[in-house]
Amino acid sequence: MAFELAPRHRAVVRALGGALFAHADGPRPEQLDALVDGLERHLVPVSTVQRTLLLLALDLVRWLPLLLFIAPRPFEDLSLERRLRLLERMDRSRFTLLLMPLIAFKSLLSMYFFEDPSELRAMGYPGDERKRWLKTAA
Amino acid sequence: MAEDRSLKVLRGREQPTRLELSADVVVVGSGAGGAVVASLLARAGLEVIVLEEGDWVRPSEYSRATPTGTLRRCWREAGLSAAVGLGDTPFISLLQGKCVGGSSVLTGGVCFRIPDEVLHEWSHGLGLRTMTPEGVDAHFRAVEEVVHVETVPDGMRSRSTELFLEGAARMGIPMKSIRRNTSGCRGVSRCNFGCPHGAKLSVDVTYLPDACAHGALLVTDALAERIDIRGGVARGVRGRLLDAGGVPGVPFEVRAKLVVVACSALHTPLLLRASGVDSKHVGRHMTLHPGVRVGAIFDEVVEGWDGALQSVFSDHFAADGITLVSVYPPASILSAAFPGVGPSHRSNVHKMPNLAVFGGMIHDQGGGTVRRWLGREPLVTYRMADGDGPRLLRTIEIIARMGFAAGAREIAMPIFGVDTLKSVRELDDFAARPPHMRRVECTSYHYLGTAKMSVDPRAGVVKETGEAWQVDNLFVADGSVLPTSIGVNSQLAIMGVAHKIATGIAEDWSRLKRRAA
Repeated sequence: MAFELAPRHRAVVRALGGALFAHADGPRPEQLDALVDGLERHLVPVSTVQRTLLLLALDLVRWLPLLLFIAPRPFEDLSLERRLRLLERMDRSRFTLLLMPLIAFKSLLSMYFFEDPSELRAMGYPGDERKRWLKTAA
Repeated sequence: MAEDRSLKVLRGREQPTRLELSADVVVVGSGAGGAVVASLLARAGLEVIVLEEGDWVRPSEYSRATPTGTLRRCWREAGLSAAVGLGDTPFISLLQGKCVGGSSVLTGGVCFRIPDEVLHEWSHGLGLRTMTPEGVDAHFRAVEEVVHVETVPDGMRSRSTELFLEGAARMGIPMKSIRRNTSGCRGVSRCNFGCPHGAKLSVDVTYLPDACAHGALLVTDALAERIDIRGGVARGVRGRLLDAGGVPGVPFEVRAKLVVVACSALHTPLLLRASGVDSKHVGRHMTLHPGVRVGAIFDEVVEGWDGALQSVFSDHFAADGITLVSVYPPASILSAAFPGVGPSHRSNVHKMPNLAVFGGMIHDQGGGTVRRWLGREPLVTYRMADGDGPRLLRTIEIIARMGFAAGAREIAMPIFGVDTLKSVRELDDFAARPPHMRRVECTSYHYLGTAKMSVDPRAGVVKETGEAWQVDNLFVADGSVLPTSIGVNSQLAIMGVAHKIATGIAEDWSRLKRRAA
């Protein structure tokens, strides 16, 4: 089934990824491109209902700055600092409508972001090399 | 069991025109229940067709797939299904397979028989006379032999699990080794995404090849939409074949003398309802074993990914409905569970080599309901029983205390928006002021009970034989028929019960066949 994220959704995903995985040296632009592509691929086998809910959640994130009286512009136009503050507020919120979009996209995008071999290496994961079974087999 | 492990598959996505088939038996679903039924009935000389909604992923393909690739291809809704929590209930993710072999391809391979006390409740409390330890023993023995149930060797325990054991020992909690359906496990902790080494003996490499070796045909991409019922007797299944993008297109019809529905406790009720089975129990009473895990961060390097995904458990708190279990999913999947956003999240993720993961689940009371709503996927709602919420919080507290007892310096709690706990005192504060249940990060497994077995048509959907009360020659053989939560992983339980149901069908075939005439 052909499915493509709308340009506004791509922009929000990039902005979300840029904030969720922000650090001194990144994330790199190509990592953000991969995140957008990953999310797009992930939504292909998903039912129309579930996909619609997730896209609505992206729209909600997009307009949260306005809805929460933070700034009169969409999420992707906020500075990194303000995006981070907004995500932290969502993370601590008691309101399901604020908390759930963060949980959904943090979970989904983290799986794709940290699957990147360079990120796995950076976190100390050695790849599929294993020692215990060799000892057991011996 | 057949040595030739190939399958005889008709791929629906490659079928250009209407498909019409006939057989003695059509089985809807190729997971733990359906595969066992297909194998036994094919061995009994019956013509069997198995319909599977998902794709056929060859075991060799799992070694090349990333976790997200497997999620997209083999998990229902690409792993994004969830139950809507009602009342004081967290949002609960639902994890289920949609591929040849069903969820058996994606489990940790943990194998438990139905506990004796649960069988006692069924046989004495519910009147299910044959559901006794003696009544199901032969069926479990047969299944355990085929899927090679073995105890995880001590040497395959990850350091994460060893720390889990140390913490438990210091708290006086005894642990036991887990049994799994494996042979030659290399301990890469990837069980939930298809074993990359073919070491997990899921039904796609055991029962289904055996069924095909005895003449069964497997049709993939087959979305069963309705059971044909005429004169009160099931006579086949109709539906549509899905294209490579999952869109229903070409219609199919399988005429059969007997229909076995085994498409899981989440989808069997939808098919039964769509086919006119209108018992009030269809889709109700769903149990799902809410589960939680905590991350314990140590000063030492743990490298918890080196070892079996699951290797020990404790039933020490069984009387309280709590089971503790070691677990360690792939690093990229675990990364999402670390607290924080931005630099603080990254800093936590980079503690991964020092991370041990402890898990637990509760034996719940069956507050789930499965309904049809928009589209093909069900609307699943779940309301925790009064005691289940506190029990889940107690599970979190116990495993967090085990982490500190093992020497952890920080504990990442499964509570959204909560920073890691740095001391037992902080954990005491957590226990004294528990969070709202909606903030608990909760996963679920082992969906059961939505077409439950009963001795009275007013109390359930199927008889003890697995046959529907309302329709002759319509059987259910998956987790739906188990009448209560079993408190342990359900894969082997489903296989054992399916074996029992299939054995009954084979023994009674002459009568069942006459009824279909």
